Amino acid sequence: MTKEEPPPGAIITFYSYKGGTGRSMAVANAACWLGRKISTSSRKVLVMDWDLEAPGLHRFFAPQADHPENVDRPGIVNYFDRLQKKLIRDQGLYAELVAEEGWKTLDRELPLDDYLISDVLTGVDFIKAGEFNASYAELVSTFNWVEFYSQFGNVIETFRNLIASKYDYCLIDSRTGFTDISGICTMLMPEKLVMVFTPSRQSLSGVIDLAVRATAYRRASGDFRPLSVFPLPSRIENAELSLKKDWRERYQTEFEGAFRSIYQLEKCELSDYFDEVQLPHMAYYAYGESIALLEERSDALSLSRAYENFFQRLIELDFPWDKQDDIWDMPEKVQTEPYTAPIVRHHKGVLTNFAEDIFISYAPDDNASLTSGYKGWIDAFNESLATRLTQLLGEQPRIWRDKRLPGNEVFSETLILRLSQTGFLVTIISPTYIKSSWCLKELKEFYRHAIHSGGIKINNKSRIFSVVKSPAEYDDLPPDLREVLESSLTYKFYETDKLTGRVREYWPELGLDYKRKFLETVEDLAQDIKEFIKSQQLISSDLGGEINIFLAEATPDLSEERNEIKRTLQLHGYRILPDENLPFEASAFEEAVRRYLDQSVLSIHLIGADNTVIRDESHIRSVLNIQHELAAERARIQHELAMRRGDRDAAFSRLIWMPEGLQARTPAYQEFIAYLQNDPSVYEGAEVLSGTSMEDFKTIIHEKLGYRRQESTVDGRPKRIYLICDKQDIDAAAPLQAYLTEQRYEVFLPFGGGSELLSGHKEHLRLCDAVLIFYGRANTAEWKLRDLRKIDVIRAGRPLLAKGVYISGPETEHKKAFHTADALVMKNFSEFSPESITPFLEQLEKASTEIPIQGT
Amino acid sequence: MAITPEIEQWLKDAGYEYHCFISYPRVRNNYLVECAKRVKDAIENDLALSINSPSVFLDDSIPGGTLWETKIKTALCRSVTMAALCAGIYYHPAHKWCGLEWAAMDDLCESRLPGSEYRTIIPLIVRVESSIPEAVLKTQWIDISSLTLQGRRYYTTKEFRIRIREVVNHIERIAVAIASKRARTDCQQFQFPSTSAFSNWQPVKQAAPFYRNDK
Repeated sequence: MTKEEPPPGAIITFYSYKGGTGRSMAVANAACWLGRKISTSSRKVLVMDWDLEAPGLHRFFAPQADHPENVDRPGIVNYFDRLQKKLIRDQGLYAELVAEEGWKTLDRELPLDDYLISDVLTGVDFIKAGEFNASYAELVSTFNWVEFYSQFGNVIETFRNLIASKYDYCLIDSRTGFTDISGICTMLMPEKLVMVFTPSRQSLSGVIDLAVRATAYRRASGDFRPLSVFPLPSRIENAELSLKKDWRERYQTEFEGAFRSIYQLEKCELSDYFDEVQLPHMAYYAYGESIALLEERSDALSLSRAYENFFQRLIELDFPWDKQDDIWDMPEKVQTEPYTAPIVRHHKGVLTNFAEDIFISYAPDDNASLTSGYKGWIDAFNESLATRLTQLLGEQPRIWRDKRLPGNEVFSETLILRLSQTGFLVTIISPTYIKSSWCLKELKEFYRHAIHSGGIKINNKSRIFSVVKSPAEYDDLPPDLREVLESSLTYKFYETDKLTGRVREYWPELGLDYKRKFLETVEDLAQDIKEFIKSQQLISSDLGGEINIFLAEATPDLSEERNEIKRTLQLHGYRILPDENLPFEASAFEEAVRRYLDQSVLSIHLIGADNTVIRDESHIRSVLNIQHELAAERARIQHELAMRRGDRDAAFSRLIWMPEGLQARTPAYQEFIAYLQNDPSVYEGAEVLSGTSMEDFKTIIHEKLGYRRQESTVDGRPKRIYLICDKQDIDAAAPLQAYLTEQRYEVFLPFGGGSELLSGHKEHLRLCDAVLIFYGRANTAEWKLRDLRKIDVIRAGRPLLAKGVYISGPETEHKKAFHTADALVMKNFSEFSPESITPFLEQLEKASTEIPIQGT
Repeated sequence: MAITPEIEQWLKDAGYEYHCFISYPRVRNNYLVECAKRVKDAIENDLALSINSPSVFLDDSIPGGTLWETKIKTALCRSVTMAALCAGIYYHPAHKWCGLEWAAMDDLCESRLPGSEYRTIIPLIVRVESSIPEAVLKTQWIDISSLTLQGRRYYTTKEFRIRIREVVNHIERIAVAIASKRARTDCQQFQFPSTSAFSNWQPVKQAAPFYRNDK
């Protein structure tokens, strides 16, 4: 493959062990969905019917497949029959075909075009099983695949390369059972394998058995492509709830076990996947060959929605247990430039080591207003981002952009100089941007200078944020710029209409829904920028009210846990020390640790099984031991000072954590652990937590720091409202959320799902100033109110400023009668109006004047 | 067992330029080349946790006009360890450079760490061939074959990072061992072998992916 060629397309095989699962229908619908999805791509989707003994996929594409010019068109079996004859005739051909780029020779010798039925659906080409004439059955039964494979086996790889070079996606409808053709379809051809099964013992065992065999085959082959398996439960009967539940449990458990074994995973969790992926049984589709995506509207209970749910995952995820939140992330790129640049403060600002914080790079045409009286898109974006960052950071960031007029293409030295002194670049991607040599030069100049001012990536995070206003192809960009853009975090400010495939940009003036989406995406960007700044400790220490924590260097086996604690504490606004690499020489190391400890109110030590050592002139010393001794020394001194002052609490304390049943890997280190576990002197000014879970440990840290927090209130930050609503009510609550954001409140929404849901819920309860429960379709308000009665522990006794229940439509008897003494109740069954939330906001504002807000 | 600044400095002074040399079959297979790059990046990232300037050699970036054979031989000799991306194609006589690199690093290991239990070659098994050369069999390997099946972004998974940590642990152990033995590179004296480490290996064709051979 030369550099100019696009990456190979993905070959996806749909397999079922038994017939009657709806496999071919799934292939037809997948083709329809993908064809629409990539309609702007230069390449298309190819569908092939490899179910040679029972062909039927052509029925779904009847109008085109039955067209007189296609009726006699040859198909798969004819292709391989002719190929075999050619190879037998021409002895030298095989060597040419299996050479590198042999697929080009193959396409010349046996043009694929002769077998294609073009555009059976938008963007979809099709190859039938064969030419359905009198000799078809005979050809299928006499073609010897075993012989073909033993003589010319490698040419199947050539064929695979040929179709992958021409198409973005190739879908194969495989033969059922364990046969020669199903072997080719499932083991030699695909990089993704869809296992279609119905809830029955033989259907399920059959597909799992094949998944195990196919992946084992790939693992031992010379094919370096992945082979990820996506289960697709089909014909699920919703009327039989109990059976449905039993079978769901059974197939989920069996696939989780199989995947753990196949891919050598520690754990595999498919609950989220199977919550969304299942094809319901629809009697209508039992008759004839219809494509649901063409026939029905995609509503919540439709078959087409079920297909869309699955196809989205099939295409966007690498594997079924991939995190749902990652769906829209760009592929992660690994950092290659170590962060070594010194931080030199030029002036006071959000970023301490840059003269400017953020530069917005955009094409002027993208800022043209669509309607007179409204702001340009870039102006609106710039203003919202600046406001939100100010709220999040506690001070105004320096955001600048080059407000040149279209046509002014003189790239000044001043512009280059300012770019070189800027921390982050936000690119507003659009087709206009990609075609603008000016914009690309801004990008290039920033990139060029960033390498020398801290690296383009810091801890694997790119300093470039791509705001995609409308989709644009990167193919024509120089490879280095394409790489830069592809490795940056991406924020989509548009959506694609599922039916028409049309792109709709988030213009705030298009109504509340679009305004909400616009603001939510700005929020994502602002939060990520804030995180980046915080995680790098680039925020000015002059912000005030900052609490320093010494997080001792841990051994490699606990590096993930240490990072987790670090991230959590930074998220809550604490400054984590050391904020630079510690020296390697023992005395310099000691000096640095002592300096950091002197600035800290708490030291946290994670003790693992591995030791890390450091040298001085004559000894090898344990890094953990040095840190422990210095922290203990500081604790003793602070304790004595507190005693002299008559204070109850010293200004410094320690937390020491070790996992349950900790065993050191070396005897010398074991001595140190035994000392920590058994020596009473260790407990002076310290809490030693052995076997406590990491989650509980984090809670203990928070509790310990809660008292410190009260001493360091930061006035002026926006008040935080935790808007608790169910997933199904998110859209209904959007106008309320947008209004609160407009009123300059910081609004927390519940996390997406899984384990994050609970821990995120607790974090929000801990951090917020007020709680507002949204009662829409989900009748869970009372349950959520009960939950609020238990939050004293989480909030360390800090009271909420306001508690409210906002009752929205649809109107029900239960809602009309709803009443509670625990919270303010507001009822509004019509469209959202600001007045409906006024009582709650008044209560919040009033209480905030009486109870000081805790700064975080 | 981290590489201390003193060890790092000693290695530099002793002529070591790379912490690891990535050995892989130079074919135009996008997936394998991608794998080599990912392994290089991941090792460098992990090493960067303990040392300032990790350096891993991969021959995809040899500038045009360079004598690549000389460059590869020199780079290998100046490497502390070698990570080999093993699969059938790696052992195949058609890719004799892989076998030569293996033999060369084996010789370097013998001269630098004579009698040591540590080997300076770290085989990373990308695909599990039914027939594995003796030289590979007797070396402790790290299997990444299952996790590379997961998807095109397997290198973002926790499993991949764990395997790379194992590789880096090994690199760190070797670096410390070499430094404690005061084993300099001495590349002027080093004779690059002319026989592949896999010269006795015979490829075995993978069986057909069929269950029923009744035709």
